[in-house]
Amino acid sequence: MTQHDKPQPLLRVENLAVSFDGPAGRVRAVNGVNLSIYPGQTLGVVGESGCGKSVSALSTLQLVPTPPGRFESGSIWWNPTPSSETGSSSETGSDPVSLSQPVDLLKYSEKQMQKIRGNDIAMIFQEPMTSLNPVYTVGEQILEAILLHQKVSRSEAVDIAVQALADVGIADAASRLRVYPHQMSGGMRQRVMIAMALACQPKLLLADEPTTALDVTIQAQILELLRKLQAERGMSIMLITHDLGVVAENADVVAVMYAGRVVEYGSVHDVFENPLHPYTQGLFDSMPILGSSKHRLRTIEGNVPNPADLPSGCPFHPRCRSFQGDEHCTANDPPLREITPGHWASCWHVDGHEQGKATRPDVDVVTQIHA
Amino acid sequence: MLTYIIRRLLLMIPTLIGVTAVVFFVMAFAPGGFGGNVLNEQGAQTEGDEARRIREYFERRYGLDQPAIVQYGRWVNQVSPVGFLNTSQLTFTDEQMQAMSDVIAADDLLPKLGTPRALDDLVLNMAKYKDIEPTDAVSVVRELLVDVDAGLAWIKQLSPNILERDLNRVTKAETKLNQQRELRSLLQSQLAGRQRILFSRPAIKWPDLGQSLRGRKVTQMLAQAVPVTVLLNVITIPIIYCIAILTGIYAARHRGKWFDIASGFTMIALWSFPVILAGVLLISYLANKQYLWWFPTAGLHSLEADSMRFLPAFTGNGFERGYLLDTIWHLVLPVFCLTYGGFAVLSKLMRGSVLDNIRSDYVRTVRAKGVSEHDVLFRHVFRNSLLPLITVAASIIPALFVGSVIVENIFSIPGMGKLGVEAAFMKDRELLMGTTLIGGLIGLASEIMRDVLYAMADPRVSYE
Repeated sequence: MTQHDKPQPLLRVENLAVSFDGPAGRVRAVNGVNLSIYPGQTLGVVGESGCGKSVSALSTLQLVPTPPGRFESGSIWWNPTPSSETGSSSETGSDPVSLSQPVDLLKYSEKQMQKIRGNDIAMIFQEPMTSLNPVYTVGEQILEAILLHQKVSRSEAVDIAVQALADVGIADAASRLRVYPHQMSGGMRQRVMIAMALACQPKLLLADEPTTALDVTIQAQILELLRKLQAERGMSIMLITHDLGVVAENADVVAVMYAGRVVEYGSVHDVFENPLHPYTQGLFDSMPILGSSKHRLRTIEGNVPNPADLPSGCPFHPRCRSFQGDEHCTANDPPLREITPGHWASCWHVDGHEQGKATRPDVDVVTQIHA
Repeated sequence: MLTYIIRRLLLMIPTLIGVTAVVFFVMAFAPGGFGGNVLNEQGAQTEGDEARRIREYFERRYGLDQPAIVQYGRWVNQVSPVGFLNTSQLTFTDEQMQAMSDVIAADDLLPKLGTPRALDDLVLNMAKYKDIEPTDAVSVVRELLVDVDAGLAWIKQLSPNILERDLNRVTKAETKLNQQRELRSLLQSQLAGRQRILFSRPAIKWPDLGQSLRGRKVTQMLAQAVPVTVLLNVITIPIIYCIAILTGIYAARHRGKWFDIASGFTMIALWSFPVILAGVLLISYLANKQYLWWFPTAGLHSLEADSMRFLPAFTGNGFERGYLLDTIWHLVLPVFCLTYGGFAVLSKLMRGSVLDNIRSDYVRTVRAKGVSEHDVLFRHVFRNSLLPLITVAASIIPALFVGSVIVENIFSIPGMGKLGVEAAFMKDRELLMGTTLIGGLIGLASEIMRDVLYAMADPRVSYE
């Protein structure tokens, strides 16, 4: 997979499996997820609620509460200084860690993770209304992140915070530092969240449904802002959403998730032009298209399966359009295979599935940034 | 904020009127009414007329014969800083008194009817009752005594319930002079201590809690008792909060571990254990000569406390514990009784509050910033978790003062709780109203304090 002339991914998630202990026994929320993000790339992760999108992102920062959560297997390779000269041995990670060697974040201690969080990898969340501490001013909360990771004096940190707020388009940033979160609108709070996350110039931003709780005009502003900041700084973004429109406009690469696994993976162009997996096709069919004369949208029949009680074989088969009672689907979970170059899907019914190689998905296209 | 506090302070007035009115009328309509027990206590030694006269004196002195609503109105007027003067609050200068005595001595009739002191007393009471100059009161008294019938008519008007027997004593007397002497005595006893609100004299005055039925000034009694109760609570409240916060955080931090389970069990057990039983058990085991006798059974000080030095010291006679240590030694059991229920509840509350906050969205954000667990807990979770504790502080503080009632009685500590219970037993109107008023003030003040603290701790709360 790794070639000498190919750039190294910034982050590579391999076979990640996370389970939670619940009243109904242990539940696998994430089951063998593979992802990779290249420098400057935006990876869109799409899927319904409960499909494991957020848990995958939280795992990257080891923010999954343990217990009840538990990392079953897998590794998350972090390669902060990717260079094309890196040898292929980086994949195994068994070499002593040097600066240019990827490190497994799941093996990091809490102390080591604290240095990564907010500094190299930052995260913003879905609920701007509740995601800021109500009893501290916006300024104090941004300063906390800066003072934690950068060796600067308090007054320098204030300058950085003012700049960070100005960068996210907050007018009169200096006076806004003294404002409490409850005195701001939802859109403003999300801007503050982004300013806080980006104050330390992270290389990767995990955006967990950053616009879901906002109304549409604010959504567009926030996404536009993220695109602009990404273009300026060249950072990577993992954009978690259930909105295909958001993915189409912002992502370079798409991972479609279902029941804790990636079912389709490819560049935005490939996935949107030629969706392979029946689930992805279903998602597109259920999207209204402006100007189309269709009266009814097609829905995906049935409900998301209970993760404690997944169907045997392919977890999607009870809802699948292509499923015609074949034993293959009910007995065997299809692996993710590269159907066409740079386009993976996991379905027994996709043409060319048998020929495809079961490899880890890895697409390094970076297109949107310059758009 | 300031306007809010002022508004709250003004709102205290109607609230206090409500609180005191409830207590007053419940007591007033209870069988026996006010004063019953005190009167029995004082009248039990004498019988017949003497007992009745004492009772009548009390009724006049405190207006106990008036309807309850009038009594309450009088009491409110008495404690209100803005109101009307009361006959008992009138004072005369030495010159006025001297002038009055001179006029009496110069009179041709009056000196024959009684001792100068008795006459001064009578005229002074008349002057107060009618709110006139003492020298003018002399002629009023003289006119009543000169004409016996007019005098009797005036007395009947003054006290409609007066017994024929008392009046007969005047009319049956043999000579006119004797009749006048009896009349003077009757007039004197009927005027003595009689109170009236002088509606002609509105005034801004110092609130007056009046006089206990047992004679002492209520203010004096409270001034001795309140500091004791405040001392108990000033020690108790920090202990409650410290233990509650520490155990609450620790239990939440190690949720499901042995400390959490053990402390949860202990706290529920403590919370369920009645203070009365705990106090009695503690005394009978720890303060009993036949058992451990580690602590004294009762009181706030040893008998010889006043002769002790303040700090503990080693002297020729060995170890002397000193006043401070003596007081602490006496306070251990009562303070334990007051604290254990409080910290049990608050500890559970703190634990729940910390757990709520630890799982909240903003804590996830804080963690994602790379803040260490210690700072997450003590910088972010802690401050938010304190908010419910501030809320309950307002109910804890008055409850502690009420709790002191039981504890002070068990350990015979001369505090406000003990005083209040005694007042209720004796149906001592002024004392009871005084303790009610102070209790109400403490409760309302702690509520205002709670709201101010809350606004300080939580920026979302503002009183603009």
